[in-house]
Amino acid sequence: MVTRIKVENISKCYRIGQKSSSGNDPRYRMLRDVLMDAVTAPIRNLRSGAALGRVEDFWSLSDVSFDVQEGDALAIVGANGAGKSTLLKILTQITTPTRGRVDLRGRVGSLLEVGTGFHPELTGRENIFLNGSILGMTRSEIKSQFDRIVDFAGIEKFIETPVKRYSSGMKVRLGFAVAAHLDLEILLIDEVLAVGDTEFQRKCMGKMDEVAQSGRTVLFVSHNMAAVENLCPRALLLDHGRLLLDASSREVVSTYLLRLGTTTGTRDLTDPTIARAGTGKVRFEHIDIKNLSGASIATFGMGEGLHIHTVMRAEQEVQGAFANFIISDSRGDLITIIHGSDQGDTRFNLVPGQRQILDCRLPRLNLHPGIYAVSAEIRSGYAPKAIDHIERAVSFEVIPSDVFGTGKHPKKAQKIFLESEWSSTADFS
Amino acid sequence: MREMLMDDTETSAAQSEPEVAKPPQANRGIVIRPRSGWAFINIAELWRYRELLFFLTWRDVKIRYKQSLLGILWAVIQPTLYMVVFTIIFGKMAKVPTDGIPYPLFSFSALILWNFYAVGIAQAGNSLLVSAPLVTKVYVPRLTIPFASVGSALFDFFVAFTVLLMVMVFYINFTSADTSGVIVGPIMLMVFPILFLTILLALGVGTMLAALNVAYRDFKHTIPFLVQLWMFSTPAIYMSVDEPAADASPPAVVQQDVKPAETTDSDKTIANAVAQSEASREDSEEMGMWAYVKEGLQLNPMNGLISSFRAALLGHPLPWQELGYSTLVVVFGFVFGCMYFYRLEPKFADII
Repeated sequence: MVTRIKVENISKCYRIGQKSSSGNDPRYRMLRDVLMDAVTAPIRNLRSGAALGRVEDFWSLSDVSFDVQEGDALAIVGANGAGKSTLLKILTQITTPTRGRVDLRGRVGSLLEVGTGFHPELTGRENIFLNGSILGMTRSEIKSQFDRIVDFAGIEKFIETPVKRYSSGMKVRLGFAVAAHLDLEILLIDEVLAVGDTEFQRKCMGKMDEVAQSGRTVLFVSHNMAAVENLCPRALLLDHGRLLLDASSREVVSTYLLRLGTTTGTRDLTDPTIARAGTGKVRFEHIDIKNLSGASIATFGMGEGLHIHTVMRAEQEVQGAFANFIISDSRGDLITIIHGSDQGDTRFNLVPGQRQILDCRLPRLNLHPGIYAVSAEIRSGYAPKAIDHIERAVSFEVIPSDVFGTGKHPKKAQKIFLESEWSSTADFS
Repeated sequence: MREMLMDDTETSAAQSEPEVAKPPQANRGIVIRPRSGWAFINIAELWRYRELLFFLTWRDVKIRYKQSLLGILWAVIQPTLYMVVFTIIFGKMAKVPTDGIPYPLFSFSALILWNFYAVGIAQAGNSLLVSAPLVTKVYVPRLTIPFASVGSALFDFFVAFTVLLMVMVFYINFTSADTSGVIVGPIMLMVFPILFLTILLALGVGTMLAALNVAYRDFKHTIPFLVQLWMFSTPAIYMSVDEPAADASPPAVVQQDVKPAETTDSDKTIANAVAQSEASREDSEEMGMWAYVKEGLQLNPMNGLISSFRAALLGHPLPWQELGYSTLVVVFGFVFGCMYFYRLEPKFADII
């Protein structure tokens, strides 16, 4: 088993200093700045590239180390600015590390952007060859994959027209199609390469899944938690340039989400720093997830029921107020909305200073294992603007359990499950 | 508890799919470390990416000629127009010395080589900025980018060269007495090594300009000016540098001035003698100054290269000493230019 990637104590420092003497970003210097600086600061060492004034070091990566074996599919997860793209750039040799060392075994294909090098005046065919060559494919490789690439992108009719006539969707599809047929030992894929319409996105995810399963070594940077959990068994969590966690993607995703500040179980919502939208006539004060016995618990087996318990307080008079609870998954996708008006017809009138205690009981959760967030809002009538809305106010976790009574449940990631009754009879006629 | 939840049929279904191809298995190792200081070209890497060099050159050429009315003829039109202008101004009006070669032939042969060089370094100088995504979004050996610009200028050169060859046919000398036109002979093969030297110079200078342009963003405004200045410092393009202007020779002028002053015969002879010695002294001073200028011009290798190219092309004897000096400068320029580029290269993606 070959260790394809060995990263040792990689660090990357960017110099951020005060503006140089002409007030420009010192990253790119002007010849006149150099001359001015030379005149005004003779003591300073010009070769170090320091700008005039104090210089700060920004470490976008500090001491990151990990190994990747042949055939691993590894996701890299983290907030914006955590250093994910910088790490990929170093692994691709686009930029050099300030410290540390990387050992790579095998050819590296990097997909940080689709359609790199595309030129609008060239035809689709010409751009396929150009782009493929830029990505590292040889001419014969491109030729042999050509038909498959065109087919994947779905632009067979337009292959001989200049790319400047393509719609933006077509350009993206073509770019991704070339990248998807890159056949190298190590693949580094950044972010949302799966763009375009839903149909195409499905194709992209399918292709990435195929790549991850195929035994190629893949590093995958993404914000899409569902994709991360689907495609990669292992993930790294980066935070402010440091490697926080190197574990199963499930564990990394839940740690990441927890760090994002979605509190589990019970939350006091009177904190003025909480992000909320709405007119504010009534405000949530407290939200609590309880199990069916009334205990404040936030972990449930598949199929169990729960209570969403809230307390709200009115600042002004409101007629016909009701609450909605929006349940979304770890990726942020909507699962369902529980309408206080349509489903329960629980409306109430409030006068200033009045508190209202509201309880919503969900007898059975047909949700698959995962972390789910509850967003809460208060509305009145059909007014488009909510009175109070808190995104991802509280979260709860569903864990696997023997809901079917058979000791099994499917492993492939799904959102919901449905009860089913089966019957079968033999037919010998 | 998790053991109770067994894998179901889904994962085993995936494994039985026949479509999944075996992954590739090359095992070449690369070590990535912090890099700084001087380095020479990574030839192995450039060789591996030779196809990309071809594709980038082809891209530049294709883009230039797509949607253009006259297509490939543009490569010929620019030197032709220059030649016409130069023939009128330098050939007819100023009557510059040309070693007896007819002026259109004299200038056109020089102009196509100069044009290649000038366009090559100008395009190479801007190439990194124009193709910025190739530096920041994907990895290609950065040297391929300015190299490809020079390559596309070379393509234009060959187009113009073909035209030149056709023109040259009209000037071939069939009698050995006339030395002004084309003399067919083995010396003509020297055209290729000289062209190679010019390519090396263009690569070296263009690469260095490319790196400077990334490091100092206002540099791109100086490039057209530099190229023009360089052209004026290359008088070999439009005149022969081996002799000063023969028509305006000092001795004739001085003698005419002195003539009206003399009165008697003896005075006349003495005056003449003095005039003559003064004239020859001034003459040698002129010659001395001209020698310094000539030495200075040799610092610009294009002078030697263009004179030699033209001489080889027309089958005339080559200025070997000049060519020798130029070769030294070219080799130094190429090595230094590439090394400078590599020195700055690690920072490109961070600066662009």
